[in-house]
Formats: sequence, structure tokens, C-alpha cells
Amino acid sequence: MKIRNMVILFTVIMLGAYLAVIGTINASQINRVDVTEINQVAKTIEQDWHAGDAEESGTNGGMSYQIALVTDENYQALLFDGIRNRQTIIDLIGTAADGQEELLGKIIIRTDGSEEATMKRNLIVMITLTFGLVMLMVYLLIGRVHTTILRPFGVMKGFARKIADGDLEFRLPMDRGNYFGAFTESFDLMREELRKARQGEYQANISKKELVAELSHDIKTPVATIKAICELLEIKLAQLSAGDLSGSTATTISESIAKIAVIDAKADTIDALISNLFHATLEELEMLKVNVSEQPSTVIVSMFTDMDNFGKIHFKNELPACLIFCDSLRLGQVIDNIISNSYKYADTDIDIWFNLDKTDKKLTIKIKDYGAGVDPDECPLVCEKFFRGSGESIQNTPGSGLGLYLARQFMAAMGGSIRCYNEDGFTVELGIRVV
Amino acid sequence: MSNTILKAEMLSKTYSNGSIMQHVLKNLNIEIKAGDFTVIMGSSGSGKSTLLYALSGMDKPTLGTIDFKGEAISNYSNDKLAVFRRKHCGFVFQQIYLNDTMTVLDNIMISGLLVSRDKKAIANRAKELLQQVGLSDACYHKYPSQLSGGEAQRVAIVRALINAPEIVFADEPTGALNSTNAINVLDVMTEVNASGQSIIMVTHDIKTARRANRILYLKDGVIIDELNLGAYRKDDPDRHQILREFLESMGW
Repeated sequence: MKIRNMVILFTVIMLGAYLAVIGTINASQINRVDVTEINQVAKTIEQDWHAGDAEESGTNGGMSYQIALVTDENYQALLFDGIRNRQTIIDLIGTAADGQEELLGKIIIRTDGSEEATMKRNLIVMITLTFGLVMLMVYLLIGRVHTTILRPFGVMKGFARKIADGDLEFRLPMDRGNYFGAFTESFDLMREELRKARQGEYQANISKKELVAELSHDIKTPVATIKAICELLEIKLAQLSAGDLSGSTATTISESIAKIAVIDAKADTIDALISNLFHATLEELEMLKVNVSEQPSTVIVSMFTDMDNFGKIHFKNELPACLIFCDSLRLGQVIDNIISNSYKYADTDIDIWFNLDKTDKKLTIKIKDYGAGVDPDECPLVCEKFFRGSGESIQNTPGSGLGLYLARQFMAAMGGSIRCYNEDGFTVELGIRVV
Repeated sequence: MSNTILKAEMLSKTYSNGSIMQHVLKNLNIEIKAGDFTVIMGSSGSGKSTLLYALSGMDKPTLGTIDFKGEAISNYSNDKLAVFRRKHCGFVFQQIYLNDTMTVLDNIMISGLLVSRDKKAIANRAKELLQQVGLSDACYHKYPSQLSGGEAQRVAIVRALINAPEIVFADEPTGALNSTNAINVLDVMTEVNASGQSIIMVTHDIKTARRANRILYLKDGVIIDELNLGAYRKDDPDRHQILREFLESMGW
């Protein structure tokens, strides 16, 4: 109930009580001693008495009376009683035999004195009731004020403390009937905005790191290509210069070789820098995202042909066409990593076999080169994070030790597998889940 | 293995809408033997009809191979596929697709003339088949609009059989028929099967499925299970019970 309505109700109740009290007081009258009336009554009684009506008590003219005769034994007692009860006492006069008036007794008019006492009692009851009512209303009003005004303030105080503590998930309960509804709402809005801002900040942070990690990994592939092409050019130009060429051409070629060596060296630097960048973000992210979907297996072929810059990749059998579970971007990166590793360390032909196991629902891709392979002791470690072979030539080749680690992570996320072993050269077997 | 008539390996069908790919069939391996009565069941959208169309050469699969008697029809050109279909496949659909402007006999014969020039032989075969499916001489020169649904579907079956195809593909042939007509049509199909023709049928109806000796259950483009009813006689009451239990276990 609204306080305004309460005030109106209380005013009405008080007014009602006031009118009731006034009314009661006005309604109750104390019988005044009307002297003329009493005299008249006394006269009537006297006449009646003389007429022979010897009744000692009765009513006359609406008043009850009692006659106390002088001759009565309890004459004095009756008289005193009457006086004590504030009753009106009038002489009853008779005519004696000698014609003289003589006092026969007293007429005691029984006026009722109890009315006054009743009125007093009623007044007390009414005043008590009124005061009680006033007290009750005051209490109700205070209670109402407490629940509608003071308590919401208390809740808001607790809410503010929670926000200060950083708990932004705590909702401020809202009450439509509340005087501070709008106020409360804006308070809650403030919390909501704060929460959104903080969440956005967190998301932005994550996606920034993800972007850096992804970009740095993606940049590594073109850099590797640049390096490979540099090497190719160097070799080709070196072959040219070995032939018989005129002096100026030979100089141009040797200069070009020097320039290409610079490009190669710079590409190494970029590669190292990216690796550093990648380390930092990868550490924080732990994992890169993989979105697995159903893809036709034919996508795999282009992943290899895209990498076949030197015409060294040979498919030894036909790819069975089927639907596989993969993230084509990530599978592409896995294959990129494996092929570029082979280019870096083995630099031989790469043969590829496909095998579809229909019962196990697995497509295996066997990628094999004919290089030196991996030190058998180190073979189980090649997929570990930051692991690089201990051989001198390996240490001299730029790399981060992440390629096969990521390959394993990606394959695992696609529900597939990766297996590395030595067989003529280094061999990698990728297992891909078939739908 | 010599009696394998149709064989699909790693069959996939993908519909793409912009960059969204919808894989309707996923790496299906199916082998159909000569004389099989195969029923394909599955809930709506599970790829039943797509599978039927891919198997029959009406639609090309995205991935995988289909061999018909050792020939890879999945590599055929569209023209070659059309010839293949005319010769070796019969089709029965829910919508009957009879030509309303031709008589029953002409409707049947036009299919036959696509393959053979011998008009007389075709007419004779058509009459023989019509007799076999319980349609009297009176029907020959009626128009499709004068036939009941069941009669029209039986005419369609005759049309499907006119070239004596090795396989009859049926896509819910009884879907639009009342139960009496459906039973008639199914009786005809069962007889056709008994005479050695393979049938591959898509259906929603357990009573129809009961006629088959092999039931493939398709879900989300994958055959999740199959039931072989070949061991039970056609009138064996266990057949229905076993089929019902199978379908219930598939979540029918």
C-alpha cells in the first residue's frame, strides 16, 4: 500500500474515532435535578398520600421515589442513604388535626447517580482505544517507511560493496512498487555496463593474442617459400656463372647471388623474429582453435600441390574420395609443416601414399622422404614443444621446434593422429577420421 | 560375388549453398545383389531419396563410385547415363507421372520404343505385363484420368518393367494410394521381384517394408544398421515382429 493511501486511510480512521467519541459524550446525559418537576411530583405524591394512597414507593411522573415516614424505624438510615447517593429529598407535609402543617416524612426521589460513572468508564475505554489506534498507525507507518525506503537503501549499500569487490554477476533485485525503482534500475544498468566492458576487454585481449599467434604462424609459411626460392635461385645462378659467360654478365650474376644471399639472411631473421613472437603468445594461449567439419577428402591433394614448388612431391597411389572430419586450414598447416621440414632437413623426393581403412573409418596419409631421418633416440621427442634435433646441421637451420608440436595438437583436435618414424628416411603418417 | 549387380563405395552427396555445404550422404557402402528386394528406410531428411537417385544414376554423387555389373557408372557422362537408365533401370514414383494425353498402352510403349524398334514385340510384352498386374483389355485404350490411383500406379509399374530392367527403383510407390490399392501394388512388386528383378524401394511404411528381404536404415546420411529378412518366408508372422523390433531399436 502506498504511503499516501495509508495517510488518507489513517485520517479517515482518526476522524471516525473522533466523531464516535464526541457522539458518545453528547448522547449520554446526566439527569439534572429539575426542581419544578420534582416539586410537582412531590405535590402529586402528597395529594395521593392524603387521598389515602399509602404506598411507600413507586413511580410518578417518570421518577421513582420512596417515602420515608418519620414513624419508620429506619427513617434515619433511609435518609442517610439518600443523601449519600445524592438523591433529592423533599419533605412530605401533612395537615395535622389542629390544622397545623406537620412533617409526615421525606420523599426520596431516586435520581440515578450511576450514569456519571458509566460515562467516565466509556470515556476511558474510548481514549484508550484512540491512543491504541494512533500507536498502531504510527507503528505501521514506521514499518512501511522502513520496508520501502530504508531497506532498499540497505540492499543498495550491499550491492555497492559487491561491485567494489569486483563481483559484477550479482544482480540488484528490482521492485516495481519501490520508490527508488528507477534509481535501482540505473544502478543495475551501471553494473551491467561495467560487466560488459570488462568482458569485452577480456575478449579483445584473447582475440588479439590469438590473432598474433595465428598470424605469426601463417607468416612463417611464405617466409619459408621465400627462403626456398632464394636457395633455388642461388643454385641456378651458380650453375650459370660456372659456364662461359662474358665478363659483365658474370659480374651481374655474382652480384645477384650476393643480393639473394642477403634476402636469404633477412628471411632467416624474419623467421626468427616471428618464432619469438609466436612463443610468447602461444604460451599464453596454450592452444590454437580448430574448427572441425565434414569435408571431401579431395581437398588434401591441393594441400600437397600448393607446396610442391620443386616438383619433388609424388603421389604413389590415388586418393580415395570420401568425406573426412577436418579443419582444412589446420590440416593444410600440418602438411605445410611436414613438407617444409622435409625440404629443410632432407631435401629429397617426397612420396605420398593414401590408404582408406573402411572398417576403422580412417584415412591414412603416409608422407615419406629419403633423407638422413631423425636420430632414433630423439624420434619420440620430435612432436614435443620447442624440441629441435641436436645435430649440428639441424641447429644451424632456423626453426622454432613448434611445427610438429602444432601438427600433433591440430591432428588431435581433429580426432586424428600423427606418427613419426624412420623408414629409409623420415616418415610421417597422418591418420584422419572418416565420416 | 558374381551376382552383385550394383555396388556403391564411399558414396557421398553434398549440396552446397554458397559456402554452406550440406552433406546429405556420407561415405555409404552398399552392395545390391541380383534378385534383392531392398528397402531404404529412415526419417525425413535422412537422405533416402537422394540415395535412391544417386544409385539409379539420376543424380551424380559428389564423391565415391557406383559400379553396375562391374562398370563404373559414376564416371559416365549425362548422355551415357540416360542411355544406361533406359536400358537397365525402371522407375516408379509416388507421383505417377503418366502422360495424360496418351492411352495406357501408348504410355507404356513410348518407354519401350526408346530402347527397341520392334513395336509389335513391345505391344505384346506390354499386354502381357498388364495382364500380369491384373489390368484387363478394357484398360488398354483408357486415358490415365479414367483410372483409379491403384490402377494408374500399376500402369506405371508396367511402364517401368517394359524394358525388362535389372533393377526397379521405387520412391514411395504406395505413398499416395489407399490401403487396398497399396496392397495390390505391393503384390505386383513382390511378384516382379519373385520373377528375378531387383527392387530398391524407399518407403515410410512398415507394411511396405515387410515385403523386402533387406532393410537399410538411414540416419543423417549414414546407414546405421541393416536387417536381413531373407531367412523368413514372406507370410511368416515373425517377419513383421522382427521388423517392428528393428525399427523401434532404430528410433523409428
